[in-house]
Amino acid sequence: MKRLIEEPYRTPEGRLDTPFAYVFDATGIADNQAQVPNLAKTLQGDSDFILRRIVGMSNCVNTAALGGKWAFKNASGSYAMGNAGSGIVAYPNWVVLPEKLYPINTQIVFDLFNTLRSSNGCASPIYTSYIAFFGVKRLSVDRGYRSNKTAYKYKEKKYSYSVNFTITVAAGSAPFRLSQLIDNYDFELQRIAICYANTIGNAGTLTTDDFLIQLYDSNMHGLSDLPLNQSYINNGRTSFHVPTNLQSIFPCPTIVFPAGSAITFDITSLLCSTSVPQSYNVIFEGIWRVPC
Amino acid sequence: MATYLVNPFASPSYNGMNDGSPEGFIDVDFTYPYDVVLSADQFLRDQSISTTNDADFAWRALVIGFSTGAFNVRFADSQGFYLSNGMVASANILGDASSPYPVFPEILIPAGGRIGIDIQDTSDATNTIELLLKGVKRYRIA
Repeated sequence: MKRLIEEPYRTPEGRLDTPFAYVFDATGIADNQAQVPNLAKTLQGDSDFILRRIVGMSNCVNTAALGGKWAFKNASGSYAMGNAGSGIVAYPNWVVLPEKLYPINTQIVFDLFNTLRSSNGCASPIYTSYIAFFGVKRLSVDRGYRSNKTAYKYKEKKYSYSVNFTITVAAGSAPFRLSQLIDNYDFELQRIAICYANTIGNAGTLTTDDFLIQLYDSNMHGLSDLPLNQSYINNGRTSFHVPTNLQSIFPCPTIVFPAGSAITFDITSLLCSTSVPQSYNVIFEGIWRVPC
Repeated sequence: MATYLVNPFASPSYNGMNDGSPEGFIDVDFTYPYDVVLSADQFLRDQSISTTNDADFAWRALVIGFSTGAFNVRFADSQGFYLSNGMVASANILGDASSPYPVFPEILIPAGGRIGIDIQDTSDATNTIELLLKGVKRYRIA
């Protein structure tokens, strides 16, 4: 008998799961509040949402030693941890297992204790306090979303698209759009890694939230409702053998970009004016579907 | 059934795992926290976490959410059965929220039951500790 972990995941009949992240902007929450109860992230009214991972609570509350805590609720309104008024220490990454279903038109409600927004150390702080709820939107197959299917017979070939870009503007500027054409064959995106490009500015691994990133699928549907901190999706390692404590990986499950389409993403700078220009390299790693 | 593409770079929990609830029940992710402040070398015996009355709790993992120093701990199930023959050093059961220390096979604590804890500071200083007992509430389907 197969164990549960070995069984392929089963999406309900007639449904299509597409990776998605709901993002709560906590940059407007005042610091040093003992308790901020019942904050809510309302779902877009197009589908159920399956929650699998929560990232960024530690960017919104104080350290554990100074009482920074959080708690969140099930769709029913009951707490998913402890009791009301007593949250738990905030980790950068919180895995939700078993996954939780939030039905269409509901919201993800959570509490923060002893708030403190994380920020980039500029003369005037640039806040990076965003909370991301990762999971999948469960759509009906007839809603017009891409199906991940390739029309031709194919074999899989590992392939990566590498994109260099430079941020020349400081925080507060409008986002700018970049795209990578998917040439030749359909491409299944499995991993995104970002580091400094070693040309302009800093070099090496990227450990700070220098920018927000908004990704789109091949039909220009956003894969999050607000831009994400780069560290929330960046699977690049910060040393040879140690993954980041965020254990970031996106998209999950993977998505397919048909040949001729493009991976499009918007970049919103969170850099200090003294830190620009700064160049970056991003790789979109995955599988080419080569006809055979 | 729709095409579902597993991401080989990601853990099974990110990709999605099928419902493993026993027949007639539904499992819902839940975490019981245990917070304590120990004075230097203090040894607290027969502490407990009471489980709520709404559902049985299947305990599957342990996270040391926070501690300001080393400590020893020993757990007991709701029947008072100790899970080790002596105190266990915290460094031997390290786990964080992304990679918890597994409790396998799961330990079922009845609704309204308790998880027993003996805990002892070994840091020789005041020790603020939070333990997180992760698992699922097992609700019976009417």
